[in-house]
Amino acid sequence: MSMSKQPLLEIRNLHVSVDGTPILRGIDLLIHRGEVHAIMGPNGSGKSTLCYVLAGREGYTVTKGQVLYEGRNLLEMSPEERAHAGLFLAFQYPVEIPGVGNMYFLRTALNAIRKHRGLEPIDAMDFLQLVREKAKLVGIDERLLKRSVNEGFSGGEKKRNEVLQMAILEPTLAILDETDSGLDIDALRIVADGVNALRNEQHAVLAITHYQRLLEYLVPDYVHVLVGGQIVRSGGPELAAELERRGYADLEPQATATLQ
Amino acid sequence: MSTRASAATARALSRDSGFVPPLHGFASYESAAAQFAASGPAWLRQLRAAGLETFRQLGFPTTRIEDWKYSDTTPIVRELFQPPLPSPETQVDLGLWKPWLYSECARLVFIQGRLVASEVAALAQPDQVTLLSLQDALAKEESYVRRVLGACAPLNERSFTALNLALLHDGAWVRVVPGTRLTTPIQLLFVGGSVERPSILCPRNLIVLGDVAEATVIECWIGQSGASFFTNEVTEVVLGEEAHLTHLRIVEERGAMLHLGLTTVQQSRGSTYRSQVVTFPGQWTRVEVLTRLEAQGATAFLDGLFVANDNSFVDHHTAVDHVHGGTTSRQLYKGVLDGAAHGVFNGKVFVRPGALKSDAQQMNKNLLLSDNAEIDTKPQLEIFADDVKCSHGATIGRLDDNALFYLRARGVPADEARRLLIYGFANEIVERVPLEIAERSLRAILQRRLAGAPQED
Repeated sequence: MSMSKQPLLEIRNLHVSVDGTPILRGIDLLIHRGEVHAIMGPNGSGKSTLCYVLAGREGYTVTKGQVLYEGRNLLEMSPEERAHAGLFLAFQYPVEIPGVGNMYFLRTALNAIRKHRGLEPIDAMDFLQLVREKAKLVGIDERLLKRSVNEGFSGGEKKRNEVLQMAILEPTLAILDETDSGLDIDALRIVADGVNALRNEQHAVLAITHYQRLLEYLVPDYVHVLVGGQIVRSGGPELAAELERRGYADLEPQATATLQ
Repeated sequence: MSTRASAATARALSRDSGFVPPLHGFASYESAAAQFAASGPAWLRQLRAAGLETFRQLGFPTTRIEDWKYSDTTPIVRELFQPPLPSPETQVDLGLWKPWLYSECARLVFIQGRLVASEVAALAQPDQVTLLSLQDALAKEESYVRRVLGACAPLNERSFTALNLALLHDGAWVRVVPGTRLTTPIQLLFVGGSVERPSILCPRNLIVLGDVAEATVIECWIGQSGASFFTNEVTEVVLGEEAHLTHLRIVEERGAMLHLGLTTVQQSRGSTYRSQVVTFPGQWTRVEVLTRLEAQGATAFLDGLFVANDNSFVDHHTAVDHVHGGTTSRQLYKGVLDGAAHGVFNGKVFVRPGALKSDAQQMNKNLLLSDNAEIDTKPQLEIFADDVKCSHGATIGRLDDNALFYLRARGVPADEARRLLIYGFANEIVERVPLEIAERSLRAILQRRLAGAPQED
């Protein structure tokens, strides 16, 4: 990775509080196009907070630091603007939306993003074909597409639906918030395949996970360890295996590891 | 009677009885009644006279009456409503109402209470069904009409029902002979109002299904734009054994339009009454559905959807009377209230003594979109029998922030995401509408009213 290239995402000394309680306490992270980063950490370390702050959810107060996305101030952008700019969050708990058809939802989302890119709304037949192809890729039953968004889906089906949306929207930066949790090994492999299909010089992935399991299928370029709202270690894929063996117990949030 | 005196009388009456006379007195209603009083057979004239007498005694209900606690009738009490002006017998151009002329349907069209079109050519089984105006039905099958009219909508203390009877002139008559599964849906389109003066319309519809008969009837109530009128309609439904009626009622009004609707249903053994009431109110709307499950196996599904904004008032009352055991009812009413709209849901389930194994569920869900919108919801169960299965509930909520964020995180702009969620909320009722063209029509209205709900695929 050339250092002169502009990072896709640059997080500088990010501090975030929720209801006055500091959750993130100085995060630094650089992600370039083409890279896959994994953030691992115990429960309560601030992993999901980081995801939500990046996606623009309300209720999180940035008290210090900044986040640049393609050089722009990400924190000033609305959630939809972030999506238009190519940021995608695969939710840990995808929301059920009764009465709104999955297909309609997918097409609305795709067309919103196409509009931003200066493209015409997708033709109905082309869209159908696209969805069929991607649904096959992520192993989602086509019958689920006819239902309301996530309504009555099993945990695994909801996660696959997230990956399907990702495959259709083709984000520049995909953030996976524990997309692997609650999945059996086959589903995990399919999810990882979906992510791997996105993997090329133009895209980047930030995978948040509790377990090393996902990283066997989705081999990251970098692994970061988040404890107590700080990144306490960064390394290559071997770090994940080490964490699996030794746990997070002896990692204290002190000297923040810097990248590169 | 002067206005001032009348108002004083109104207050006095209100203290005593919970009813008030019309602010302008009974004169306009009496002259309206007089217009029809002499027409029709003697028994009908007597019914009208009884209706007028009851209405004169009662006047209009006030909020002191429990059943009208949240339904302030002041907009009706204070207006001088007059019978529609007799209109010249010219050809009426239905093109104006084209979106409301559902294809595939046989249809009666009433404008200002007067039958202007009877399109029965679409009926696949013309010999098995009578689809006429009430006036024509009185001429052709008076004995049938006499047996039904007023039988399931008794006067009791119902002053609006009495007023409807007093001014009874016309309406729709639908009779399906036993054993007929009617394949052609029937549409009854009512267009109200003239811009000349505020008018009162009191149509009475009668729907009779013989044993093992089946039909779909769609009533649409709309108004001439800019018109001010008060519709006080009554529909009586009689279902024979194993008869199945799907009854969709759409009220789409605006401005100074007031609508009071009462549907009463008598259900025999094994019959099914499937009701869907969708209201987009003008100034004031109240729709009541009352059904009596009189024998084993009778089943009622009552769905409702109301979407109101501005200063509209909309009230849905239901009453399901489990007179007999082994009967089933399901109710789901959903409300969407924006602006300073005021909504009411009052649903009652009665399980009579000995009505064992009755099974009743009732639910009212509401979405409040503004701080000034208001909903009064009152699901009620009155159970006088053991060994029954009954549940009821109500929810009042705002748009789900999680869902809103989820949509926005996928690139859907905030205002569109909001509309999509509202549409999704309403959709649970709309997607149950049996006839595709009616479903499409409802989606179009929703789209218009919510400005931006999704197009059909």
